[in-house]
Amino acid sequence: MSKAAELAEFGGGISDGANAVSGVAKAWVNFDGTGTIAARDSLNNASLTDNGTGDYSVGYTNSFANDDYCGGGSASIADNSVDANAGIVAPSRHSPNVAFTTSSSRVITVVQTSTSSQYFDEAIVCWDIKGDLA
Amino acid sequence: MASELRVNTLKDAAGANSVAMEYVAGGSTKFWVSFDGVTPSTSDSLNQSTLTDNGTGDFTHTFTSAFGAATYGFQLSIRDGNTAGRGRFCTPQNGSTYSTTAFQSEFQNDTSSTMQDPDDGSVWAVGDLA
Repeated sequence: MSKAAELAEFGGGISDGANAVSGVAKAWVNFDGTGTIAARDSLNNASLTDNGTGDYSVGYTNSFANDDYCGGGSASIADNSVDANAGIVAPSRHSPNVAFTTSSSRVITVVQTSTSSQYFDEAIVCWDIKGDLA
Repeated sequence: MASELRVNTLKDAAGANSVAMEYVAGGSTKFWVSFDGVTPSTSDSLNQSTLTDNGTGDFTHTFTSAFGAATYGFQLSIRDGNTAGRGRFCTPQNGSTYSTTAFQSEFQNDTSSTMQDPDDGSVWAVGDLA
């Protein structure tokens, strides 16, 4: 069995093996957060749960080794029905106070104006995770 | 001559930190860019052929290699805006370009919800290339 310390693109860059292992997303999903929510495309996504307006749970087929993984995302609102264009994705730690687990993440999407913010179902919600699988 | 490795699992040189090729192929970032939205100019990037300034806080990134479908995952981030107010809000707006060959990023000012050029904007995407 051979063990490579580096991965090299032909005629191009070199990647340390640890980067190739740890640096790739172990889960990601692009889903429609409006109406009956549905994934458009994904990796390692087992389920999507609609917990209410702008409040979702993302389940993973293969669990993470711990709940300290890094999650992030972006989102886009469905239309111009609100006077704001910022759709953001935030890990839900506060309201509701649900911490990440090794098999799922609670995620909220918010639309925000200069004076207020509110949970909002968004047409394109993208969420991805960096971390180690179990 | 280019070569091709066919493996099921990658491990580091110590034989630890294994990852299935499913995640290497499906979870690798296929496009990323760090750019100055004021100039504008690209600081560094992968798989971006052109950066187009459509107006204040409004940019189009054209890909060198197209995605297989316009269902890829994306993220945007901003270090700061170049005018008063934090430029932390960024999103593709309704009607923005989101295709296999290009992606439109838009950045706002959180104080006034107006468009704002980022001093340092970042966009990246995961998914399968064509």
